[in-house]
Amino acid sequence: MTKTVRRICQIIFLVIFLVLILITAYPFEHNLATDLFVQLSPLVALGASIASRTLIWEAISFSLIIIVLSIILGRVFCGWICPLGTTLDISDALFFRNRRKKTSNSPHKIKYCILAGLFVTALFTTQAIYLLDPMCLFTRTVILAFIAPVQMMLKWLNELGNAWASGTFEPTIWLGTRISSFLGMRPFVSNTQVYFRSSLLVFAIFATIIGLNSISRRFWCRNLCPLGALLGLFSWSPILKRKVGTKCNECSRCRTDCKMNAIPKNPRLTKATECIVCFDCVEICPQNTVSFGIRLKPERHKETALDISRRHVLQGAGIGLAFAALVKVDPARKLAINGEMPIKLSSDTLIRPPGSVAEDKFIARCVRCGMCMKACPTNGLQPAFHEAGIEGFWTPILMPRIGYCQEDCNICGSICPTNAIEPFDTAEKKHIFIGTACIDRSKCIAWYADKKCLVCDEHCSYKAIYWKVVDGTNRPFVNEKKCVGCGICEAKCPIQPFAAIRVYSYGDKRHMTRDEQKTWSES
Amino acid sequence: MENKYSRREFLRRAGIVGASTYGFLLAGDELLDILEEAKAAGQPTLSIASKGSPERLVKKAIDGLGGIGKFVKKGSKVLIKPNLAWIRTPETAANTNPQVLAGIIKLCKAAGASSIIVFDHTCDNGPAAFKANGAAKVASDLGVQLISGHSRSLYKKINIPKGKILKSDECAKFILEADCFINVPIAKVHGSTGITASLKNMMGANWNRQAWHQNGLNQCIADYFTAVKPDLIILDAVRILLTRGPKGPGETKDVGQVIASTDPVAIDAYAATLLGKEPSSIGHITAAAAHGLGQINLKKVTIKRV
Repeated sequence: MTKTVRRICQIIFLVIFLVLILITAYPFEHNLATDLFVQLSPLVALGASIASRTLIWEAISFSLIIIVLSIILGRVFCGWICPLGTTLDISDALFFRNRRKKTSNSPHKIKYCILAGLFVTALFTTQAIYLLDPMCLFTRTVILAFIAPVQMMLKWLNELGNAWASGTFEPTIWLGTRISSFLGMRPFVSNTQVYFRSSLLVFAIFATIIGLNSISRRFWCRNLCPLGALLGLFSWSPILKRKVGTKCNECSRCRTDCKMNAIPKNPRLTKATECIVCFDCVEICPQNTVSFGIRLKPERHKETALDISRRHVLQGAGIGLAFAALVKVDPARKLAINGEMPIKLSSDTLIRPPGSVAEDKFIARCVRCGMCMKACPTNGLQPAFHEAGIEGFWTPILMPRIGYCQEDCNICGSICPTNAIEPFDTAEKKHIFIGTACIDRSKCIAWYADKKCLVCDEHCSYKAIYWKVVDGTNRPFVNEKKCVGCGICEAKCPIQPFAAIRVYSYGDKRHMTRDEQKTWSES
Repeated sequence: MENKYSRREFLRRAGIVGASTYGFLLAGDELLDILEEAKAAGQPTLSIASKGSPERLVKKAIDGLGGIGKFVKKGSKVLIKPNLAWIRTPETAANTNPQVLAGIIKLCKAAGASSIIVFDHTCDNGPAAFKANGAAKVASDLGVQLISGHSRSLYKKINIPKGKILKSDECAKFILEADCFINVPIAKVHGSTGITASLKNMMGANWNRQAWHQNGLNQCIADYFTAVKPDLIILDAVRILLTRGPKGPGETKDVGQVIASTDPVAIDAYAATLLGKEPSSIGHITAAAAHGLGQINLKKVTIKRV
């Protein structure tokens, strides 16, 4: 019974999680907190806050709910809410049922080691939480490795449908419109195909996590998940505790069946830091003597002690320190002075979404959940590879050739869970400088081939392109005080495959406040 | 043989023939035009409506050409191709006025059209542009289909036998399937082509228009039009964009006119004059005139003001 309730609850949270990701789409009119799940993770809140030396209140206040829940009820988040945990349970039932031997020992300690490592890297302003926090990891997986390919397949269906139906029936749009009108929202299924870099890599990591289930149930949650480790620390002595009645004959059914290996050799005891309150042991007990109840007194026993040793914490810390140090000597971090502003040497096309905080803070805050990439209506926001260095792996960059920053859109700022992209108004956009367009006269057909073009001028939303007659033909020029680097010119430039006008990080003014940027552009 | 004419008579007749030949050589073009005009009498090329609400202007302009019934028969499939390219409000005059659009849809409905589709391959995000420029509301209020052409499956290949540069291209299949195709441009200035009106508006019926810039924009516009011709053109000049076209925001002017025609060159030439430009200075208009698509000289165009 309780198990059924738990399963329903898990499914509901998984569905909410998926729906929140799906409705993170332009135009963002419902104003729902679609970044809720990432903000629920205390690891994200603490890690990003420590790394960026900023208290990200938005994320901290949400994650407090989970901390309080863990102190009172134990790791219920892992057992009842976590969408990745639910996915692992489902995949376990689908692929791994009866296909592995029951193991009792598992390397529980690794997760504390990882947690320690992550906090130490964060102390040295390097943020690596994004790699292993389950909320970031799973949100990113859904967006990069599922939505894009599924949409592509729907697109194929579309083309197929259009091939024989001469009407205006487009299955994806039709379905999207129906579902969203049912939900009372704007369509969330974009009618253009989305593309993401590194979808395969993201999927491979996810597939590995699923595949680890072949060793033991919830292998990831037991042994690797740093959020699980953190919540375990909060729930070392929850108020809701497992109770074993006097009828227990120590048959150890509960022990072999526990998916978290939270029951030690003496089945009357419980490792509270491992127990995810799934109620499987209550259901399975042949004697019907296991229950959960309120007990304030902590359970102290050698067998239930926290799986954490000084040695392990130090090992993790050492690895974290080495990681941070090695990342900091990445030449991509080397700065060049551009006017009064330092910019990274790593890439001339490192264009951040508008509203992004200054680069160092941005890398420390961004947890690479991919929500901004999902929401971007033009598909221009892509996960970085080398552009921002190793430290900035998977952070969003604007790639105008794929999609530009649309003038009337401010969705990335509204949904960023850690405020790496701070909220902004569409009216402010003409004063948020994320780059500058430069014309390559050796490629521009209005310059070298004397052709009528000026597509860049035609599309520019901020009228930053102007043209003058040079040698009898209209030739485009860029006004750097007006060009914010939205990239529409690069997106629409007819020169293929590389545009003759490109946006460079040269004009990035994120080190200035918005008022300063405004004054600069008006000066 | 007996002499038919006296010498005096011969000289008199020879004088008349000579003088009239000389006169004809001097003023031949105009005489021919007079003849053409006489032939086309009662059938104006441009029907210009001014004074009134945009919807009323539409009706007046079309009535000036002989009424909507001439173009839209009962049960015919109508395709309307306005210019809805940008995420801009109607006040900026960057897109076709939604009330002009509404007026045309209502007329087509009254004429008994079996289906009405409004189509544009927008430059900005389609749904966002439709919402901002008011077309989405018009379409939902009047219950017509509004389609943004952002899927290649919506286009079909066409041959352009008369094309000088373009020999084949793609066209929105709704246009090819329609019984009556109505082109509804707005008059605007344009950075590279000078002006945007009926000829340039057809870029929004094509899938890959970026390629046109590489190949020679003005000629491509004219070439495309030889293969895809609207049955009726209604030019929105209620408010026109004078600077920073085509996207704006720029300086606008309230002209308060709607012009109906079947001649794309004449209507564009007229639009050019509204925008303060000489029609012969606009490359794609002269290229279209060279294709014989219409009359570029406004002096030779029958204009009916209603």
